[in-house]
Amino acid sequence: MPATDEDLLRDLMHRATGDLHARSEITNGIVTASRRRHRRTRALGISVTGAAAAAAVGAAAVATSGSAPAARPTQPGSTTPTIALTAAQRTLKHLSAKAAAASAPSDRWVKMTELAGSQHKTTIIDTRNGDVWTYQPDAGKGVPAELFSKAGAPTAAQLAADPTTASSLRTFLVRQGKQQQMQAEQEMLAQVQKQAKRLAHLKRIMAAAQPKETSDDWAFSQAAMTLWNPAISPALRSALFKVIAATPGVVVNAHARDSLGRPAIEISRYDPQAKYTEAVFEAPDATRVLETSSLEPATPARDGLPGEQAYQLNDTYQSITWSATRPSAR
Amino acid sequence: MDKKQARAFESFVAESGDLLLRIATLLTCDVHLAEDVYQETLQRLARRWARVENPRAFCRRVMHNIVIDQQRARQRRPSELELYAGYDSRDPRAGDPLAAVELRPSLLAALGTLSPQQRAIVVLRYFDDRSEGEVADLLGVSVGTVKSTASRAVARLREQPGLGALLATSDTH
Repeated sequence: MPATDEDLLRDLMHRATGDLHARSEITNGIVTASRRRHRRTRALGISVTGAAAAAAVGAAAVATSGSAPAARPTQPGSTTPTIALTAAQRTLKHLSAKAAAASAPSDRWVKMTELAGSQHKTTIIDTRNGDVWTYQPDAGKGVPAELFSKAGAPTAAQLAADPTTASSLRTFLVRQGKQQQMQAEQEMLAQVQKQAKRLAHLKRIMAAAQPKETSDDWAFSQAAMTLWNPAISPALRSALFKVIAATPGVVVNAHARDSLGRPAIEISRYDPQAKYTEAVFEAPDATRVLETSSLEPATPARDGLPGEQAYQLNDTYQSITWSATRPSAR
Repeated sequence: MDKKQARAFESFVAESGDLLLRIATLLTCDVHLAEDVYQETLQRLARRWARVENPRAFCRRVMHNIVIDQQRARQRRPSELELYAGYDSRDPRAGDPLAAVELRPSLLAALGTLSPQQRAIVVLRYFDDRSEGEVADLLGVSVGTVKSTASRAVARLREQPGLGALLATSDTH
């Protein structure tokens, strides 16, 4: 039956890509990066609330203290390290003092409007429980305007527990960073272990699903599979029939006909594991196989599932010719 | 992405990763480019994971957009237009027609002659088995456009010498 172009195209596309598999390293890499970004955002929450107040005051301080150029970390080889550092430190200390003098936020909610890239964003934080809502008013079609992340930021109580002397805060920040790094590593390790477990599980399932063919099953099916090849020697052919003769369960019909009506000796056997009958129709002069056939019997409907129809597949050899030169395909 | 989201993301990729990579291959006509597109798509998905309602549709749309962007970039740099020329154009019938690696160059070369839009419609419609309505939704075009583009694209593929031969091979199976 001729299939449509679309069906053939579908089949071709599936066959041409069926061996392609996505590498799990890609997923792992992306997940790890996203997890790291997530933690960084959470950690940033610490400075956001505190620094928001400080930044406003700090900006005013810079404006009044004249046109001192902003001190930046210097490149190796630059000639002005000490002075730049001192100026930077002075500015920072100044900021620190201003920040300390600012009044502490006492309300429960914080709202921040942001411009992330070209996207407008509004973030609302509930400082009591760390819930974060993000709104993207001009997000594209299909993106919900309200995005909600549960417990995305540290709570006010957690922030209040952070140390406020410089040396212990430094120790705290360093420890926090290291812990986050360690947690990420442990999660990755757990992932690897989980995958190993999954693999072992899969192996067990596959082993259990393998049909348990007996030696008799193998002897017959392999012998039948070897017989069809016209290139086998008479001695091998002869030995194959002896092997088949010694295999239990083989049924022989000496007066059979193949599907073209040619007289044949039918040699068949039911494979109880594979659940089908394999038959070889040998020419009566024992020189060649006329037809091979496999028959799956019908299965009855069971447990509300429909049964399956009997299925027979024949391979009929119409002619076998030998030649000294390579024959044409037609 | 929190831990729970990461798990959901991973199970989505475990379920759909192979299919997505294969779609990317058919859309880009290049297995290496496809892996880049696949990775970029997953990165974009990961960034928006919490807000994406339908990750399957999202990925298909994003993949198509990336391919279009790449196509535009290539057009700006015509020297790279040679990308498809490297394909082995041996008669596909000479080898085992069932082997994916044998089929792939001819199929991808033929798909490469279509416009990105035609390719996306053929791949989503016939490989991914999306309905005409779904394809129209994903690509933001009308159902009529999907229908007419698909039939024109299939006719065009039929004319490709490499693919014509493959379709002939398939006829005999």
